[in-house]
Amino acid sequence: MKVQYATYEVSCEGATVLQVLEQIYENQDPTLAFRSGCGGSGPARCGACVMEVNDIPVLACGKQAEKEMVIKSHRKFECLKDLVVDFEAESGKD
Amino acid sequence: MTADDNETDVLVIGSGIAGIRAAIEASEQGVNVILTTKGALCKDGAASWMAGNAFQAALYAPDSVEAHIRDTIIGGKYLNNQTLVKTFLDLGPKAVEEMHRWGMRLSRWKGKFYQIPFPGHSLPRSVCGKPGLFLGPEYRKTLFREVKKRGIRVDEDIFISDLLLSRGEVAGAVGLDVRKGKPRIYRAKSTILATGGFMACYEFTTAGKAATGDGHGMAYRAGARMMDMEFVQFIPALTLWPPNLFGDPYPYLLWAGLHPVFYNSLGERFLERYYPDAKDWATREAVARAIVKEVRAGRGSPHGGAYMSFRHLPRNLIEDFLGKASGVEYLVKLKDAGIDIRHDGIEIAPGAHYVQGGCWINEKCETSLAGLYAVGEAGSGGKDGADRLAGNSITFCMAMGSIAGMAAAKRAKSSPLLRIMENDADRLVRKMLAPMERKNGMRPTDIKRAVRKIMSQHAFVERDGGGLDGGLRKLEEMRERDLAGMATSAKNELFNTEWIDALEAVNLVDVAEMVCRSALIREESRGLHQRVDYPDAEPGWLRHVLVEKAEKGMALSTTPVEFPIMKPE
Repeated sequence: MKVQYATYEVSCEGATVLQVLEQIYENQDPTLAFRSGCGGSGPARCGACVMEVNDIPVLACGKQAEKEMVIKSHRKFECLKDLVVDFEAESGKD
Repeated sequence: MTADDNETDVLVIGSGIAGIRAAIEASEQGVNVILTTKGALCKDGAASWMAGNAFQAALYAPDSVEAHIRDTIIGGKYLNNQTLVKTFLDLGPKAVEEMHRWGMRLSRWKGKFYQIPFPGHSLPRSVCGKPGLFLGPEYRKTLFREVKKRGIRVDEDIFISDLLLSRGEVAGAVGLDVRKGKPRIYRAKSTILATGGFMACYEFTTAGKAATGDGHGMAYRAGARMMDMEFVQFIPALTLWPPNLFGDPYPYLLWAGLHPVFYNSLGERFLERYYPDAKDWATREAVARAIVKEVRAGRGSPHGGAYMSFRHLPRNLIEDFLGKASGVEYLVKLKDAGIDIRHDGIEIAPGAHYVQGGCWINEKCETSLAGLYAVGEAGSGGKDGADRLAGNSITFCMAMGSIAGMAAAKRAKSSPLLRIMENDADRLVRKMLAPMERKNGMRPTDIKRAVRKIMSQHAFVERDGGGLDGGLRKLEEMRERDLAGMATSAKNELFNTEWIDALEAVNLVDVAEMVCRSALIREESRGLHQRVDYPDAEPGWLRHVLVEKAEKGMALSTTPVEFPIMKPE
């Protein structure tokens, strides 16, 4: 699969990465695909929104958004689209 | 037809606790099973994180299943289907034993399961994990392992949009293969709905956005009898302040581990006024109701709720609990905003947490449609009555899952796959494709937002006739003007989440209308259904409200509650 990057500018204060993605989806790019799962509610994390921010694996719902971020799908799993992965299929990459 | 075919004995739609338990049972009965889920197995959906810290079962004397049944019927204000309560709670001890055997880490004390008390239960009977620990991750890991161990086929990212009927019997389902953006048709001898609740039709909810009542919608549209739709459980545990924790349900976890007391803006422990006996240990819906009344009377906290306080507890008790608790980030953010729960109260308000309305079912979890079973929140049956006791849900899910799995397998062993008419399948597939094909129309996300607004304004904790009428008019307008022409703006086929939004929006509108119509007809207040214009419980209303699809719109009727076990006092 060919990797492509899209750049978005978002205005957000105190938002999590997941909230930033949701803003992009709602206001800029409805084709942006990501899993939100529990959305970070409460103390238990479901793990659906795992992804890489600046090359570090995070849960998007728990990670505070930074001024500049490169967000990628988690390298360990096969990417289905954008930030969505198939948890049943490992990509074979480290 | 350009759809792919997938045939099986038992189709389970939804992979929460009830769905997985049903799939496990059917698989043990030796039939073929396909479990579909609209997201990723044991990640999306409520069970992996909302299934919190209560799982009730009468395990040891002096407790008894009879006492558990009794508490449940009293808690349900005598509106429960008592036969179902007994059938399901009888399986409580077995459910705990199964989960434990499958590897779920439950607290033990001196050779027995450690059980903690909850409001409404006459004895402590909830098994639990380590204090302060949500059991959600345990369910997620344990059930995932069981599914994999048994080689149950799971189709992920499959959004089932409608059921397929063949001469009035459910013969399968139509869905969207989200990954490919293509329709998929399932044929099954038995179909089990395990799709969870519809709390996402409210703005303020402890649930995530996935709780869109997909099973409720598809069952209704297929002609299944629905019931008790007006009973939505609101629990007072959503954070109001600080803004970065707005809507966070962490207080829900605190509440089970530590006993809070609640204050209004005058510093009064107002629950003593509403419930002189139970006081701050009143059931969650009772507390929610009181908070809403206090806010309406002008005694709400600055951000529109009540203060939940632990200040009365010894500081070291609180710290011992917090030392073992999870979710430290919440407490850190609270502290950053100047709130230390050892001294300060958390401002909280009620939010939708669980639904008690769904398909009419019998004690085999059969719906009114042959070939269709419903479990968990999708299968109401009136099991919860007018209010559900904390921790009964997991027990119900496990019991119903095993019962429906067995019944579905039994039917499959003696039934053929029914012939599906191509017209029927085509019609449903076209309906599913419509939002993608329309060029202009209201976006699904805007329709969902509008539904949430209507429901939050017109059908929240407190209802009244005028408000419900108004809500119904808005829903009707929305259905004709907006939903009929709904269009996605994203037209990509592969993994189009806006398309999922569109299919969910259809269900939200159906569900919202069912709730409002049922709430309008029930002219009394009982448990979770509170009518400001009919503030008392009326014995004449010991009836269930039923909803069925009619020629035009919805047909409502009522049926009396039966009392085979205990009569109302």
